[in-house]
Amino acid sequence: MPARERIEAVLQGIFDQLPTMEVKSVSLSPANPREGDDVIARIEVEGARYVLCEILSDGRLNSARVIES
Amino acid sequence: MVSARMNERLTRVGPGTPCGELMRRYWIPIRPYAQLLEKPVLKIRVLGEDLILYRNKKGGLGLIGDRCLHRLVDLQYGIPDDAGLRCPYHGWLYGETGKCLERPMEGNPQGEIKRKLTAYPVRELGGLVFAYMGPLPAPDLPRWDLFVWPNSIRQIGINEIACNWLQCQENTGDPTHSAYTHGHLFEYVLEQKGEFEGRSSDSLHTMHQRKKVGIGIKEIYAFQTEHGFRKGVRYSKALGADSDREQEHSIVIFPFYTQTGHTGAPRSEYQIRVPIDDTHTYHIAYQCYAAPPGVDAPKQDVVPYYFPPTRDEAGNPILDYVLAQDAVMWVAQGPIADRTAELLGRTDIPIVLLRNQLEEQIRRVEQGLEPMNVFHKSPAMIHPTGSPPDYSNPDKLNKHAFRKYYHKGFANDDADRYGPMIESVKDLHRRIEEFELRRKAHEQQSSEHA
Repeated sequence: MPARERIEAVLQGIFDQLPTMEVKSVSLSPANPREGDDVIARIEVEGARYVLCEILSDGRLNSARVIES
Repeated sequence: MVSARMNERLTRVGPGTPCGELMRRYWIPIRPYAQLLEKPVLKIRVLGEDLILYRNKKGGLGLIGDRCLHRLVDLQYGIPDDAGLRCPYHGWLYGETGKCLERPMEGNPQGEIKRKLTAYPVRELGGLVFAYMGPLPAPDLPRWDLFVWPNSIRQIGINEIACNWLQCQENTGDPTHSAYTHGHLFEYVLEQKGEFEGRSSDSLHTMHQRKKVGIGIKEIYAFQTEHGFRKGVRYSKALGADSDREQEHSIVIFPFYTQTGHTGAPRSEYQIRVPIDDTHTYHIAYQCYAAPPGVDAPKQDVVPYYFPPTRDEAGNPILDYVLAQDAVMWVAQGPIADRTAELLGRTDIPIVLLRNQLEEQIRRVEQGLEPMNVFHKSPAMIHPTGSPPDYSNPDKLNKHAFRKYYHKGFANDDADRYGPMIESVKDLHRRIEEFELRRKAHEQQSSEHA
């Protein structure tokens, strides 16, 4: 599975499990991940909050942080 | 929510199930060793399998299938022998490999019985008996630090919880439940019992601390580690917290341990959630009370066990200590929580991480790979947090300060209050406090002289 598809699958899995979390936008760092890249996804959610998810290149969700802006 | 298929994958533990196969890669604590000293033959159920745990007359341990091959008699009534366990009906004798060693009255020579009883390796460590129910050869028994930490006293609290193991374990992935389960609910219960004043006058009382868990949260974090999973909360004074600070919560040791308090602290604990079957959990509260260098803990020959009650004489739930509060919440989610119907929010993201980690490790086993925390040669001591305790900073050893002051009445807030070692623990805590006071006074004198 290409890197971006793998990341999107992990994020969709998170969103499916957190149905009350209203997602406003998602940005990735690096923005265009290549095979082998670990990625930080910044998810803007309702309220003054965002979520940072660290997704490893093998598709593992390694860490997550919910932060008040 | 998760799909029905995923809920099945994460919760079912019988032979051949995805999670059951994962669980069978680990040494599983099944009973306190002390229990076998009182009753050398015990019928147990682990991962949906009915088994007999026994201690033979020479002290050797065995874990075998529960029915004699001859007339299918339940071997819980068996007679310990020098070499194994003998069926009480016609005397067939079984060794720890499950092989029938002797059939009295069948005459000689005795033909070999090709069928064997199910049998699993068992070993003792730190006062617990562990079984390995997976493919052989068995890995090494991990020496997690609380089992072998020196200069400590220990006791083991046992509960059978009427729900699936994962509900208990997810509690460790849930840093915010404390505010209500151990804060507001605790307050309500003490008020109902008319014990609010007597039990909560000190600000160290855990109820006061827990009520603050939900106030001033700047960040909730969770991350995978070499041995499992850590999570916690960062607080901000600007958001209403009493100070800017970080509170790390209990950690997960994969797959079914959680540790509260740091190793080497006056009180720390593994809570171990062993699946009995899909809808029951054998909950072990392995409590360790360590003395710092300079204080001697009393010697223990045997680690005693006890059963913390969760219901009073009228059958009502006991809700005035921390573990019982958790246990009621776990059971109240149903025999197996229907995760297809739940509504998680952003504060539940550590639970998502915990479930993802479990699914990842299940997949590894399905792919023929080894899951995490399987040791072919265990180190002499494994620190789940990655490092030994820092005795130069004793205040940081206990996450909740009340747990180093059991001699001041705070044992009342924990299951430990029912334990057979509690008076020794109180005495140890008193001596540790006196030692710390002397040490601080000495440090102060030294700095004044300097």
